[in-house]
Amino acid sequence: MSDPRSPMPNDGGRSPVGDPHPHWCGPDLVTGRARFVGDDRAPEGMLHLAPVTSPVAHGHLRSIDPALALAMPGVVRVITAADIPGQNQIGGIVADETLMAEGEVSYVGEVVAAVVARDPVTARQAAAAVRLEIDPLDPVLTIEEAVRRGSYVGPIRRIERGDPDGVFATAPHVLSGVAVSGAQEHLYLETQRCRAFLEEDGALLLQSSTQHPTEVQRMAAQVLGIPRNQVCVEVRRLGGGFGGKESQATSWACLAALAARLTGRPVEVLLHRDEDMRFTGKRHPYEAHWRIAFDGEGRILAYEVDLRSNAGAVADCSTSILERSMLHADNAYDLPHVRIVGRPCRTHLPPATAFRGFGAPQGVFAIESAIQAMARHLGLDPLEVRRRNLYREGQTTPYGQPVTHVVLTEMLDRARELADWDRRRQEIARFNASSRTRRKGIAVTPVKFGISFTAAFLNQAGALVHVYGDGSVSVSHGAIEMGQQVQTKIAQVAAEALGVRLDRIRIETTSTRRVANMSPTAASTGADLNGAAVRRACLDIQARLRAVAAPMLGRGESPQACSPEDVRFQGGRVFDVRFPDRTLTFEEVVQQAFLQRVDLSAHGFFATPGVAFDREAGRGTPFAYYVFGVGISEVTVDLLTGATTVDRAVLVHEAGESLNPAVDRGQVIGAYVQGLGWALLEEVVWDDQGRLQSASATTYKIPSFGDAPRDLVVVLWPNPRPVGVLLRSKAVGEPPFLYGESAFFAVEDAIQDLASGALRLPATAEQVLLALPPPEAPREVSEPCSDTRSGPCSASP
Amino acid sequence: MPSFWLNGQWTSVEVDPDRTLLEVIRGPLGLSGTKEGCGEGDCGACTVVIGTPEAGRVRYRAVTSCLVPAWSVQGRIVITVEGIGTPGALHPVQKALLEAHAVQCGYCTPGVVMSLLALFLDTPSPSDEEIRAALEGNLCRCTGYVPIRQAAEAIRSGFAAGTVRTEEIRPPWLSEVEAALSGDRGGTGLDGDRWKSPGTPEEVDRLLADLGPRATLVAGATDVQVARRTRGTSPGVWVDLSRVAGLADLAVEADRVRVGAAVRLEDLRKALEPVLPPLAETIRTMCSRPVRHLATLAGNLINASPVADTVPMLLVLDATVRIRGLRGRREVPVSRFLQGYRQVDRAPDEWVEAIEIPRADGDFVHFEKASRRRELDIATVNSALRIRWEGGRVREARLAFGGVAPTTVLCPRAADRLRGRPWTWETAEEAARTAMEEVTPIGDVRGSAEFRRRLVHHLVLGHFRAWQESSGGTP
Repeated sequence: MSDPRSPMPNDGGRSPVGDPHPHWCGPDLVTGRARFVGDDRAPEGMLHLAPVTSPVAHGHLRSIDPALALAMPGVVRVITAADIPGQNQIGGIVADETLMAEGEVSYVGEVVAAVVARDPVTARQAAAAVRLEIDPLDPVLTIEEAVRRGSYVGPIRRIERGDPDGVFATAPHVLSGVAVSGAQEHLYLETQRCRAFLEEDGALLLQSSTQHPTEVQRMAAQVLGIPRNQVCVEVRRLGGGFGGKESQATSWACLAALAARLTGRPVEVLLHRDEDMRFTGKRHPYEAHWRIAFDGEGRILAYEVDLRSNAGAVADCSTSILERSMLHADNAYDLPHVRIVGRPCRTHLPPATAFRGFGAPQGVFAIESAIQAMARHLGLDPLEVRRRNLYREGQTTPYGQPVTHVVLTEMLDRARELADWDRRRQEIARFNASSRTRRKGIAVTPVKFGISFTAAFLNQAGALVHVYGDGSVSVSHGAIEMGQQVQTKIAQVAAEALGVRLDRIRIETTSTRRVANMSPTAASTGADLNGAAVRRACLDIQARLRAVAAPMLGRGESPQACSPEDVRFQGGRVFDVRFPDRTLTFEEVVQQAFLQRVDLSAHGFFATPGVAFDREAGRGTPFAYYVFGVGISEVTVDLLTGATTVDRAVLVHEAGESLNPAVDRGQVIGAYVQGLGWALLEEVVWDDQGRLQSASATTYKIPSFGDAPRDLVVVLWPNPRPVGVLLRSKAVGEPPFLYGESAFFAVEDAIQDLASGALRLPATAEQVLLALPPPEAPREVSEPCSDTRSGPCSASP
Repeated sequence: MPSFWLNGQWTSVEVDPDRTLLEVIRGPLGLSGTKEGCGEGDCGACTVVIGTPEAGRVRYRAVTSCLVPAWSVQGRIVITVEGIGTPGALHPVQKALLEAHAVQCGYCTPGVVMSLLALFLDTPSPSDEEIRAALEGNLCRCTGYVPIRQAAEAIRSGFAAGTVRTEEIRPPWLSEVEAALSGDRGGTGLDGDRWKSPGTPEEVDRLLADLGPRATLVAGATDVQVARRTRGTSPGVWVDLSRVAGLADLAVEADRVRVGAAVRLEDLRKALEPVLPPLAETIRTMCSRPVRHLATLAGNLINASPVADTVPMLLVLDATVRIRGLRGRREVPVSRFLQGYRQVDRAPDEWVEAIEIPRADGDFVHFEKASRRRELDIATVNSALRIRWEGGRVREARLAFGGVAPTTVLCPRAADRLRGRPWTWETAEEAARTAMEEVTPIGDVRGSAEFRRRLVHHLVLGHFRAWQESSGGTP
């Protein structure tokens, strides 16, 4: 196969949907022809912008002195908040975020000013020469301190059902603990960047590496004080996003836009890795205080959790992220009596932001910690305990949405079988009894993940499809291609809906000029929403073409008239379903339609029906459907270094009728390994002044080649009764991230007899080693001794 | 003005010696397929392949172009992703990645292509370990690596089945360029105001006598480039040692190995495998293969980082540094050469020409490294141990640690604990406890003081475990 865009077999029988088609832009990507922002040759006179940022976490900004910077050769301009013609405001959900600080600085790395210069080296040197006079104030850095001060970026929310207090008072067993999880740096390989160009009438063209072009457009227009039709945001592809470019690409694009407007020249902002790491937000650290009541068989009677996120200095999308944590606090389990509280803590750290899973991993981590503790307390198999509590068909979530089309138990049983769970548990016990310096562990994490934006209005998408006179097709949609291959899937959907071969489809860049009012490509919904919009546009065109084709097919030797309902479009052929041997080509029908003055373009629009959530009441139907799955990880922990090796993983993932099983499999594996990074390896380190210490790929370690498990089993579960939005497929981007948690609990399982206190996530080598007895400890401490953990986790009656 | 063979074309480019090969390729040369991901050799997105004539043939190595000074590739063959295949006629490596669905966002992909190209130019049937090593320097945030591994395995199978042939792996223009390279164009380096490329040791002596502290000596330049980028240090005048006659020589003698200052770590690793396997294994754990293709043992030592991985080994092996300059030659043991945090016993007009490492045949020599991540990471704590035997007991031991003090240190009291005694879990534990008392580590981003303290203890036991496992036991 030299060109994967080669025609599909023109047999009319094979559907492009469901085919494991290679990456839509694969040949361009593997040959280096594919362009990212910054790859095109710099236009004549392009300037480079370097931000001037706060060196302190909290303080009064007294003055900005640009004199030294302005004196440097090559420096064109220094920009501050005073230069903003519109509003100095880029907060997406809450209007609490400035583009450039005024009066107060509230985190290290907050943009205070910007230097525009002829080359990036000069811009950076000059940025360092801008003098900031700041009176430092005490920063709030921890969740604990923020809670103590009542410092939040949004309201405290609650979801409650039944009588948790009553059950806790009478339950036979109650355990409590704190599940602490850390931040995670996105480390998309392509750093934040934007190029801004002025068009002849002064309008702006922004080539931004963003997951949310409409937000960039909205904020750039707001900052510049111009209507949104004066800002075009165009995105070809991203070198990874993972949520990190959902809201946090906006400020860099707005700075580029502002500088282009002020200087009249093209401007590029392109962050270095260390800058990107220091200036932008990460996955929220959480402290989840949980309490669980259960019976002697490990059935959950009541659960309560107080989810506290470290949101950083401004709201960003923290309230929505916390909402998703709360809506996933049940994970896959029926909770008869439950109380879920969420507090988005304001601190003086960079604003934490979206990251694959969007709060769900942290919410799930709390209840998984509770169940793991419960199983240990009762001396029961943790898989069996989970199985007893899984949702059954028709049960409702704490917020009142029925859980339907549930396949959790079947999937868990299949995963158990594939992982050889029972035998491996015995072998692990034998290994652990015989090894002095290594321990093995195994753990399972079932997952139920809700699909839809919990802010209902975001569940909409538009598309624009043109069929040209030669039968070739141009598809514009609102999804951003960032590796998840939404373009491949959308091309497959478009080809199916129009009944043409894939090679007739061209997927255009994502542009606010062709599709307006886009939602971000996020929440795993990119293919669902945008694919559905594209499909509607294609079906509209097809309906018009059917009316054109019917009389064409009815002529000649055809014995009876053909009605539009009888016409079929498949693989580039058009035929009467009753007489499939006589065919027209798609091109013939299109040419005829053109001559008959039939509209060959269509706008498609899709809004997910039936999603609504009342966040005041904590009740509603926020999700169109759920995705189910089960992850099992088996690990070896080196007791001498604390390092963990993932030996084996089994991932059983519900994909519905996959649009592209190869893409979905890739998403499952990629998300799992990213989840492993969060669970085991990646540690964001700030010092006690809120300065990022792990500000490079040298000190912040994402999984590398050897960290992927050698032995990995992935099963795409074909739920026979899938509910979906687009055909019978299911969203795939985020849910498999949560399988990574099984590796964390496998580490806990491995060292449970030795460790004191609960591990924090990530279970880094240091975390593990410090949880083990110190070298001075008397030998008997390292022997298995108890089945409960001391520290924050304690047992009562 | 450096000139080199870029994807088959003899290319010249006017550029400051401070600029990297990556900057030149993406900037004035306009080939933007090669990406920047981190700028300090930690992600591999910028990987390209460099061909160097050696002993009558051209050797191809994947390197991180963000660490390579543009002037250093004078006369070399440089292959970027644009040089090997087009969307309509994919190279077997590109085809395999595509078919294995090993491309998602695609930003790391050009670097992965280059790493696999270098691997298969050299090794048509790589082992699993060779595949791992070839890809250990390429970070990918999307795929989880499994499909990339499968792509590499598919190419290997293709070779075995005859569906992939060596002539398809080699770009069509390569033979012609190789023939041209064997002429004189590739041999000598460049000379400019701020870049010197001496051809003989004597020239280096004279240059240093002249330039003194203004000179920055480089062979692979890996540490210097990172310092320049992250700390803004200016190299002054670059003095490139990589073309000095004899400096890339590696002499294996009956009782010692003599490593020239320009021997690349990866070449050294391969050469040491049969001679001094523990040091070869130490080098295997360092940075990544593309960086080891640039870096040198001398550089690792002279940089005098407290976590340099080879230094504990050089200390326990009692290696000697051969220093020279216009004023003469001298030899200093590594233990005295290291004077403190990033300080060594070298005058500005002196330079290290070689390191001599006694072979430790018959001894137990072992290196342990604790780091955040197994691959492509700097040690939190590292340690080397050497035991000389006498009648089944320890005659003499040397134990060294990095990451626990401003410089790599020996722990003589801990080592003495073993003297004259059998090497058992119990005696190892005694030595481990003593070692903990001998050092007072501090905490930093790579680990807390307490974590390091425990690692000091545990790595001694790690040495014991390695010994026991190598002799068939299972602790």
